[in-house]
Amino acid sequence: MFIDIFHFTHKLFGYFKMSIEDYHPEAFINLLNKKKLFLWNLMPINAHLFTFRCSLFSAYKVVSEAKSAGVKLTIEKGIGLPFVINKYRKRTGLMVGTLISMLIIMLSNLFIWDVQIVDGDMTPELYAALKRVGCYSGRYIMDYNVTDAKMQFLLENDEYSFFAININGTIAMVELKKRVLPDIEEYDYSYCHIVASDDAQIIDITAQRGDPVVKVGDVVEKGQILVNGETMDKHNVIHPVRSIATVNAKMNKLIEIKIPLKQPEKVYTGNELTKTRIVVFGQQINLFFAEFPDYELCDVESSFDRIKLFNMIRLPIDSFAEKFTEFRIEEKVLNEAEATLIAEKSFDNDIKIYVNDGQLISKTYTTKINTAENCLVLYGDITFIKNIAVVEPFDYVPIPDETTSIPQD
Amino acid sequence: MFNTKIIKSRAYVELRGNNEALIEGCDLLKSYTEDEILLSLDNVDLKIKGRKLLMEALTDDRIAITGFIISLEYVY
Repeated sequence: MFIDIFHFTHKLFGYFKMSIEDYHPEAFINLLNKKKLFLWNLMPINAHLFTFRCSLFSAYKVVSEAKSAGVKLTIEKGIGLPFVINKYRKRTGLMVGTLISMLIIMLSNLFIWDVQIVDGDMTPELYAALKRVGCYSGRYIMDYNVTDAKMQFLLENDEYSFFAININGTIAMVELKKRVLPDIEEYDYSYCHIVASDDAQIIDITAQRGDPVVKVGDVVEKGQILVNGETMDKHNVIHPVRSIATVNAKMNKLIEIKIPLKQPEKVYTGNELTKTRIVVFGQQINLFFAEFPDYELCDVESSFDRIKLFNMIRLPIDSFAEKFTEFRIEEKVLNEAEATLIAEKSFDNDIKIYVNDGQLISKTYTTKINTAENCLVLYGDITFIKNIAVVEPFDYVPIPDETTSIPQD
Repeated sequence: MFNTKIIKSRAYVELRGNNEALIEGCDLLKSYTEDEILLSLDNVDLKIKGRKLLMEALTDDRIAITGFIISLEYVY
């Protein structure tokens, strides 16, 4: 690394390759050394001829020392950037082009080229939120206050608890952490009974608090009290409580599903249109004239791409494309097998909804074609066990004790 | 690095493998060919023998030599 920097510095500031010819060239080298003139790559060609290199800044002193010492010194060539510039100084176009390109490179370093999310993906919502706080491709870096941006982002977006922007060169690395709230369930202290959510037959009942008023095997109706929240002690005093219980019960459900034999179907016409817009340094450029195509019905698929040069160098150009695919609606006539398949799927979905966390015991169904309504009808019957306990709050009004007298003023 | 201005009586010779040598406290370059370099140190001469010897850098009292070094010899 040291050698690389050493060579790079010499190439940048320029140096001369010189040769000296003398009876004893070592003496001249010693002289230059005593004058503290830095030489490198000293090489003997023969006993009286040495070549060496010296920098552009010390070359004048070396030449004047050689003159005063009467040593024959030859400048063989100049190497480095100053000589290249000198060589092409008359090619105005090349020089101007080089200067402009250097200026563009310098200026481009003053803007954010890319915004990357650390350990996450960029979503459209996040893109918009970051743009509001000034973190977008094309933002001028020098006057960008990341502390203010951080405060603004956290105030505007409650769902995040941590936000940081690290600008590495021209890339803004955004670090985010979602706010995680503690899972605290607020305890309800109101008094309540446990009632049945459906008509069912009790399979088992476990009351943690409250007095059960039904027993296993009882058939209950929807809304009937299962566990009483007004408990009574041995002195016949009523104590209201918040009842807690699990009441598993067996129940039946009849399900009827109608599937029309004529169903609308999406048929793609094959017409497609892609509209692309590019965003260069935050400025949007539409590569189309009309915003929407002339399709009556169409699907829209959006895509987002970051343009890279040679698939390697990230450019500050984002490409947004919307693909429109035309379709029309046609009526499809289902046969009985197809309609039955759809009905069975719908029946399974209904079972999931009814049973939920419970246990399915049995299911039976029959299908029938209803020619009058031109549909297939599925008649289903399911038996399942589930927890039917639901809370029902009540207002407790204490009965005043007749033995206690309240003094009246 | 030792400051040779302070420790004047001793030269500092560093050899890295057989292809790089760094000599500090060198007073004079007495003779230089591709195969042999003779340097004058404080009170002794140092003879470096080798092949294709090149002085990569020369400063006030330091010399960096590269090439195929065969031997270093003190000449009294």
